[in-house]
Amino acid sequence: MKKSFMLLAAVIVLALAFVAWRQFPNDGVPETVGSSPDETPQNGGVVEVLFWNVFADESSTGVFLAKAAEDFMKENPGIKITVSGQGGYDAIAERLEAASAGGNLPTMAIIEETFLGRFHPIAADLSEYLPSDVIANYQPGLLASGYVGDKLYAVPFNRSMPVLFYNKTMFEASGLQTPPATWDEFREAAKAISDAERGIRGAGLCWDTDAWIFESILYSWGGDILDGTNKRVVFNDGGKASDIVKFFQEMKEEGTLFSPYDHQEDPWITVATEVLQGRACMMLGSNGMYSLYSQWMADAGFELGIAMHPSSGGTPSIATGGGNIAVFRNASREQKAAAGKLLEFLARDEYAGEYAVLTGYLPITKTAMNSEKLSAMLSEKPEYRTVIEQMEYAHRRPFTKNWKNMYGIIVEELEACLSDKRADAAEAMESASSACQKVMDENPD
Amino acid sequence: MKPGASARSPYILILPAIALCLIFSIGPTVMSVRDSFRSVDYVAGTDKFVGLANYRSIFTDGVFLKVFGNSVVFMFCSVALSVPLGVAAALFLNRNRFIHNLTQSVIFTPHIVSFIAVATLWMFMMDPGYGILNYALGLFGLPPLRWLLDPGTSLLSLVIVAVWKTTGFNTLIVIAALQKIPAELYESARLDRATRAGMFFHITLPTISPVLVFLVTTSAISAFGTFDIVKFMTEGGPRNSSNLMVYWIYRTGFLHFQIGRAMAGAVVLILFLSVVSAVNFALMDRRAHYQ
Repeated sequence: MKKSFMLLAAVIVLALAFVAWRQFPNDGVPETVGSSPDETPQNGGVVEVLFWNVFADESSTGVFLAKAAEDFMKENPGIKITVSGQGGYDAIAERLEAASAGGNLPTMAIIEETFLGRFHPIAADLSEYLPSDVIANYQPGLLASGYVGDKLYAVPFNRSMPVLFYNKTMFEASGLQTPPATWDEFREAAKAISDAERGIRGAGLCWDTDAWIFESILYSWGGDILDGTNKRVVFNDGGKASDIVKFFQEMKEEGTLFSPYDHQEDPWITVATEVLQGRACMMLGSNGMYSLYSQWMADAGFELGIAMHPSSGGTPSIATGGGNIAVFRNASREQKAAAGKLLEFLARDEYAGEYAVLTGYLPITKTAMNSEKLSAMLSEKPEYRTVIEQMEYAHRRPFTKNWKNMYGIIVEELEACLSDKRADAAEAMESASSACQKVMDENPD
Repeated sequence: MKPGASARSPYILILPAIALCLIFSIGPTVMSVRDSFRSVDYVAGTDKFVGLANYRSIFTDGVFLKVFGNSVVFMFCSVALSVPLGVAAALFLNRNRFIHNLTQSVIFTPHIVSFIAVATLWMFMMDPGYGILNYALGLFGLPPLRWLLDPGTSLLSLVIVAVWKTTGFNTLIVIAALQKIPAELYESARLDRATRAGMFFHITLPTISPVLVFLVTTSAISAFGTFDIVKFMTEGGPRNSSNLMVYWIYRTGFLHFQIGRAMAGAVVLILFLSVVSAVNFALMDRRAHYQ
């Protein structure tokens, strides 16, 4: 009996020691991630590439990628691409985190551009796998967020910028001709359009779940999130963030701004529904929604207008957004080379152009404008040129592994300021700024 | 001992259960304790001992302290409402008539409905614009509430949902306990002209007290470990007013990538629940009547 007990105890101790002991697949030295980079998981001589996609398989991007992968495999019979929808930027980030711990990363993935601040230690330098002329052809404003120092860890794919969407029909019915170029004009236009009796407000505003719209307004207001060293939080320096929040609080108070934070539904959907149904006129949103919004607004009997993101005067500065594609170091050299080939394929004019037309996302390369489909679309919808012209004013988003934590703090305060009448903008932004600085200080990059 | 059975047999038989328990329960707990003293970064591949730094960090973090306080309030309110309501409902429904049996089934339903469906339903009911709850308040001349959107009412709203979901289960357990009480006890009491209140406090309550110990303990553990309604109904907002411990741990570990801090929070949760359970058993055991 005693022996058996001792045996059982030994098994328990061994099992505990086993589960408590852990070795990272990339233990300690990120440069050696993938201890055997030249080992290729071959399947009858075929190089397999697993590509994690943020979009659902049945979405327009999912369908586009499946078709592009099929075309690519016809051209490259020795490569098998598996595109797998993973359910959004946050979901991929969580899975990459888990896959890093488990050592089973995909070959490549779409990641939200700011997440490179977190995932660049496991990403491969793409300049080794992409020809220099292909790299040089990407739009510089979009490529900037793929660099960490002089290493290129990600290239643009589904990239966007906030633009001003407006209901052209309502706008013109209010006697307005040109869309607002500055924030003062935006407020004046909202006043002119608003009609309390009919429940119409001039504008709607969603800060976005990752503060993207707030960020872009801040850049257009002459501010920034972090200073040049990427260590100091500066978004409320000189009360800039407080001024922005107060500006929109006042508009809400005047009855010219619709706030989705008085409702429980998804804020983006709530604001978009107000604008698309003719109960609000203007909103900032991703140009990636252009095709969809055009259709919805036409269905509701209105015409959609698209204009440049307003600024506070001077040179505009507008946030970029959307997803980049990274290839992971853990993959074998052959897999990384195959992934590089696929990126080169997706950057061809015909594919980059088709994707922009299909979704409304930005054309990611300079020469994509030469594609037949994009040229035809621009002739048909010349206002979309505004989006392309905006790229000149692209402002890179914050680069820190802590951004996910920080934007959660900022958005919480921003939402409270538009939903709670008691919320003081100055106090809220100061509190968010201090909390973000604490996060940066406790977790240096 | 039966012929053929050896002294090792019981240990061999329980080995699969112990192995599963080690892998899925004890093992992860040991790893959590270990990681709570370390700075772990799966992506950078770094893992270093940092002593009590994670604990210092969370105990000086206003958000963590607020979340811990929210969890204590949530646990206390949920248990204080769902257990007495379960007892009251059980006393009323402990009759073998069709309507009582039907009501038992109906009030147990929320327990088996998925939390996503429950959350969706309550979010509709709590909508400040068209929700039925504000309509009901209006009937009594009361002003509408912003339920999940107001820092003052968001936690209360989650308590209401949790109580609604758990009361049916508590009722069923108490009914089972009530049905085990010998009818002779009540007959004797009636002969002695005991009042209904007297019978409740001197017969019913002492007899079902072991079940109440079980319910209070499991309800407290379950309430303190609440995750789903927070995730689906409020995501902890507004301004962390409805954020609870397990959601904080999830967010800190998986969304903010601070595994060490998240594990320190998990250890605090385990210790707190161990203390609550021990105190609960110690206090209630004195009064509980085990047959």
